[in-house]
Amino acid sequence: MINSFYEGIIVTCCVNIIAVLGMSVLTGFTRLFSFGNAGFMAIGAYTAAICSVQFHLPFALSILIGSAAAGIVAYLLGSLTIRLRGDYFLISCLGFGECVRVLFLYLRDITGGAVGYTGIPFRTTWIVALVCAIAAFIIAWNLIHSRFGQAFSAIRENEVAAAANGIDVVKYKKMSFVFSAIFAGWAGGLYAHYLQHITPVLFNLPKSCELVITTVLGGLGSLSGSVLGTLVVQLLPEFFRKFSEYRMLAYGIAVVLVILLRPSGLMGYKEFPDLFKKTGKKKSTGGA
Amino acid sequence: MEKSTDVILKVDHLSAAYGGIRAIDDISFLVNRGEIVAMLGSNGAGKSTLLKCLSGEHKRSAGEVTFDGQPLPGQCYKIVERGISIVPEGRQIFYKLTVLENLRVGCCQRNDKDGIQEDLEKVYKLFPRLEERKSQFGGLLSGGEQQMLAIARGLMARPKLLMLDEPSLGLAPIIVNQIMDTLKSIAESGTTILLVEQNALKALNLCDRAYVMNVGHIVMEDTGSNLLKNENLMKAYLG
Repeated sequence: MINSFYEGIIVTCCVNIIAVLGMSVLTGFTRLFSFGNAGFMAIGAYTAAICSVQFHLPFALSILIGSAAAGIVAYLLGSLTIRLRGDYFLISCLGFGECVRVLFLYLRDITGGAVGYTGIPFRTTWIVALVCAIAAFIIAWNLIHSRFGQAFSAIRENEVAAAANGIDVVKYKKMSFVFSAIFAGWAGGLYAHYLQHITPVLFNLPKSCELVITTVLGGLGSLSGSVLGTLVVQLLPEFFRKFSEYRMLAYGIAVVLVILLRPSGLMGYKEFPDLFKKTGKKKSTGGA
Repeated sequence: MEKSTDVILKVDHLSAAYGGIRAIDDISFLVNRGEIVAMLGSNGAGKSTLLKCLSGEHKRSAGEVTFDGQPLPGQCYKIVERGISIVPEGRQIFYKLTVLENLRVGCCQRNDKDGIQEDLEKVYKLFPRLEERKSQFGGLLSGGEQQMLAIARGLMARPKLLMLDEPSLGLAPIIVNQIMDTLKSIAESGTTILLVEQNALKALNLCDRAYVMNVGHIVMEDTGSNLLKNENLMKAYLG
């Protein structure tokens, strides 16, 4: 079997892949930037954890309720903010993410506050995480290749023209936002059942930023790029572990290099199979 | 009373403004089913604003619009649902989507697979160039091809009324002729066309009837051939 160190890496990668796939649909395909998705992860994580611990619900059901909770909150938030343009939407998400974190910090009776919420059963084995990540990829892939996905890309490319072609821009944007929140909540629920102990600080602003950076790094408009990006962002610090504190420096340099050398990300607008369609060798390994 | 069965679009005392500035003021006109109607006028006459009002992109401040016997809704997507497609000024195609994907966006409200396939074949027949280039990014097409794509995309919604905002903008004369010919055959196959143009000669040759606009008002209405003969008009408004 696999030892706990590798299991940790696999679970962390898979959990992040799920959250980043949600971001990818939102940012890569609909061109909405959200710096608040860690907030949705937190909602998913805490809801799922409370369902498991307080109500002894089965694992799968807890995860489902967790992601549904994140989705519902996103729907309500989206109804208020989705009409905001570009930067303003981004800032409203950023504010929301921080609100959630602080709220969970202060609701000491329910969430355990800064000490964290403990006693969550260990359920997310590497197999569960891997299966979930694959399922998430298939769901996202099918969404993107449906007529909803077509509408998302149209909104990304040209909102005015999309509206002129009969796309209900507000509805589809909201759909994309809710979808990303559900994925974030799913990831959060899985993560909680792996760590067994969650604190609000796990879901802070840097976590949201990491999700966005990963999506951009992997390439906007590419689901396989998002997976690749997550692997790079999650595994790179592991490879550089022997450099101890310098590894974050290496991570920073890698990000800058990728942005410089491949401005549209590792896989901008291309999916993995596209790389083999043309005869030219297109494979890039970025800064790794 | 008009015979309401023939009239597909009826605009009654329509006004719209940008802030305090009235761009169109108390405009009324009709489009009959199966017609090609041109809306002419020089820069700033309010032609584009008029189309934007009809497509839902700009808010109407007063007046009523009746389409196919019922009042026209305000939101873009509901208007497309009712059967009006717009081919926007400057084409506005999706650069990072392929030609085929562009066309699919045009029919994203429809769910009838067979009908969509049928319409795809129809627009490919109309514009064979698009079929040759269906897997290319829209941004890589030439100006004329982009205009064809924009028209084809509008047709994919299977509209009753197709509105075009300056389809001749920035195109070589030979391409403009091609596009005008295509519009003619689109109209012959039963789609009503409302055309906004600065290229008065081309538009008048094509259309059944035309309206002439000047600073927010309609100043003249006649058949295309009559307007062509009217030299004073050509000098005064259309250059």
